Amino acid sequence: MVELALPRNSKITEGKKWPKPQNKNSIREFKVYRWNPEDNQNPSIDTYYIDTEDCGPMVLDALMKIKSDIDTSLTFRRSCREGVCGSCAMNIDGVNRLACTTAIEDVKGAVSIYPLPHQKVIKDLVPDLKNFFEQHKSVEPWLHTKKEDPKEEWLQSKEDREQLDGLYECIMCACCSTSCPSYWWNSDKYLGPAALLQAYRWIIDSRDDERDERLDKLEDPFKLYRCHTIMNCAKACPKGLNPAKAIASIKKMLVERRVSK
Amino acid sequence: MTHSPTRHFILQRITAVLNIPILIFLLYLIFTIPGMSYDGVASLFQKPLILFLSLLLTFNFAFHMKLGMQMIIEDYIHENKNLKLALLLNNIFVSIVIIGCTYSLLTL
Repeated sequence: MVELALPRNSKITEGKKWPKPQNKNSIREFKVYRWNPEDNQNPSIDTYYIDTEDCGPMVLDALMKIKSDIDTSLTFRRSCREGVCGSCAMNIDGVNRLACTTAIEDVKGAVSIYPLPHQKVIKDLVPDLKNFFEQHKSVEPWLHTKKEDPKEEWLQSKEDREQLDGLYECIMCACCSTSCPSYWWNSDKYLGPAALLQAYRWIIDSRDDERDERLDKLEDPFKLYRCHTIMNCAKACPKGLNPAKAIASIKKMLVERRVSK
Repeated sequence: MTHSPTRHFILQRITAVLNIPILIFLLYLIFTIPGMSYDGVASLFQKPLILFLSLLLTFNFAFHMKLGMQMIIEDYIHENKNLKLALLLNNIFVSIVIIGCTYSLLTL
């Protein structure tokens, strides 16, 4: 059954309030989720103050400033710092987004930062995405061909290539899947928007020879049909993609296949 | 559990679309019946077209409700025994609604 109440040890408490810098004009408040699996304490919200004149413009810059100058124990993922790797996906001001592409000035009031929702937390802002990547792997995101390998590359017409626009750009940051209520309730069985977007990307690839087999694997009450077109995925995607549309396209293909049988 | 999810998806859409014209018929009934005597209502439902549309309304609404509730139950109840029980109760409830409404309409 769905758990409507949080377990006692997951109640979030008030954390440490770090000192506010004095004689600075551009101070912003950051409220950051903290949880350490080793100290046996409940999660807490620590409060930090950053002088934005002495820091880069993005939320990730502020987190790095906190880690380097204030609290070295703060843990988060980051890598490319330009919206390409998807590592710094987190819940900022109530919305799943990339810390590196979210400007501090676009957030009004205190900047609240939590890990991606409804995933197990490894530490602080680092969610456990093992299941998420296993689901991606389960859609076999690589070319399946039955034809003989070409001497050079697999060719594709310009029109066929255009079919992949809006799909191949996914950076697997998990903002979409972790914003989806269906994924929250059934993440063990429902593949979620990110994996399904990737599934569709390979289903409609003109070079792939296993469209039917791929559709067969998705024809399951949970893997695909838990999507109820809530559209949080499209709203959350930092790359402006629309996983809900891709999922609807898969459903359409399954309906057409069934009707034409 | 849905054994053929695509069939379930298609039936859910078909019954949803069919519900739109049926809803107009329901509105017609809601605005026509108040103020009528029992005999008047009985004779209204004895008209073949009205009886047919009323039965269609019963079946379509109830079946659409059953499909929707099944989705919700599968979403929220994860323990296999409870899931099976909830799905069974859903089927029993919808069967009672259909049998009860059909009996009422045919014996009015």
